[in-house]
Amino acid sequence: MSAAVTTSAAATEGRATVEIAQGRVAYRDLGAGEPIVFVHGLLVDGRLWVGVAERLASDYRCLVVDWPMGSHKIAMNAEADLSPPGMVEVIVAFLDALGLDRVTVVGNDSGGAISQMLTAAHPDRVERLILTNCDMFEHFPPFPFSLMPPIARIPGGMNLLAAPFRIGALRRATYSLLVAHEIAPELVDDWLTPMATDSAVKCDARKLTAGMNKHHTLAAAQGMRTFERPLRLAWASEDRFFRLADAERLAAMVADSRIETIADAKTFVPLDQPARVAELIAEFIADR
Amino acid sequence: MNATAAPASTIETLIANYVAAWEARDPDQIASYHAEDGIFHLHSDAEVVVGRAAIRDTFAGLFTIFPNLAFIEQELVSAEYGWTVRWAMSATLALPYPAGSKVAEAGSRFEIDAIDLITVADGELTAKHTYLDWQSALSQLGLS
Repeated sequence: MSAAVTTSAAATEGRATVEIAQGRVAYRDLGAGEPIVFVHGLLVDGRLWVGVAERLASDYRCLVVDWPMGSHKIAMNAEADLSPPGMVEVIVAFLDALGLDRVTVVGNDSGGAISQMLTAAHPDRVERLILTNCDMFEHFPPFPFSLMPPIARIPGGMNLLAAPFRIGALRRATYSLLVAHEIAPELVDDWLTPMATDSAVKCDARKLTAGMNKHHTLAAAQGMRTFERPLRLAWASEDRFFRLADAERLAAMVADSRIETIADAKTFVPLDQPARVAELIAEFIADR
Repeated sequence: MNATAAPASTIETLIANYVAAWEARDPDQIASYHAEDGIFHLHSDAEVVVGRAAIRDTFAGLFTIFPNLAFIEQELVSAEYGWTVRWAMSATLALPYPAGSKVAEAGSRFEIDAIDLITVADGELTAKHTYLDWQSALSQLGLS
């Protein structure tokens, strides 16, 4: 499998890339040991998790992937299924390509919804599921982001959704809602550049956005009732979009579950509190 | 362009038919005036839309989001290559429109200035470049 793994080019800046059926995926492979795969959400990339992964790399193999969720720099194949169920298969294809049988999956935001769907559809690939603030149940996505999928489904609708992000102040204001601390404006700009400059990436982002639907997360939650391995939740309780009540509801559905709350953080918990998130992940893994 | 330039009378008829199709808000009829391999480019927020079918879908999408889209012509100059028109566009949102945490509710209205630069060959639109003041639309919708 490793034959497909290469390192290359400006677009990947030293990250490795791996070819899967859906296209080429870039990732950082940090440390050695039990594998942890980090799943970010829409319109961010692996840099959301780097601060957490770097702290864990002394004891674990941390796979920090730039998933094709709209901030990826290499567009996927035009026919690739990148709807939420399609994204689940992208993760499975990535695990297959790296020869990883079973991993700890850590999710955030819409990536957390995909992680729940992965756990329900392929429980044999998930050693344990660790969720930080993310879409669940009826909130995939939460208001006002729930207004995006109906527009994304209309031809040309993605242009309408992307248009406000051309205004620097507006895009920074949007991302600032997702953090308790400051977020580097350059990072926000960089996360939105691929969609603004590459229509193929915008087309990729459209597939995920248009496909977001509570039916996926409601079904995943039901599917997880039979999940026999650990579910752990590291939750920022001050988040206005992803409420602790949803986390508690999911925890109640899985036999082996536990929630820890994180102070002074919002949706992007791994950016706000990387040390605390890393500490909790290590603790969860030691747990079982 | 001389090889395919249309006589003035043909251009005038095409303009009248094309404007009527927009007034009817009929994407099939509008698309029928675009060349099979023609392009539509909404500057600068959108990618180039290539081909009659894709152009039809794009305009159909536009009418879904803005069902009462209307245009007031302010100045039109036709020439051998096609025509240029300056117009005011008014529209009302059919769906709530999010921009970050702000939302423009369905029913919100805006009116903006725009320019179309249209090229024609063999009696069909080969390219339509539309420039509109979307920044003003966002501001009128309370989103910026």
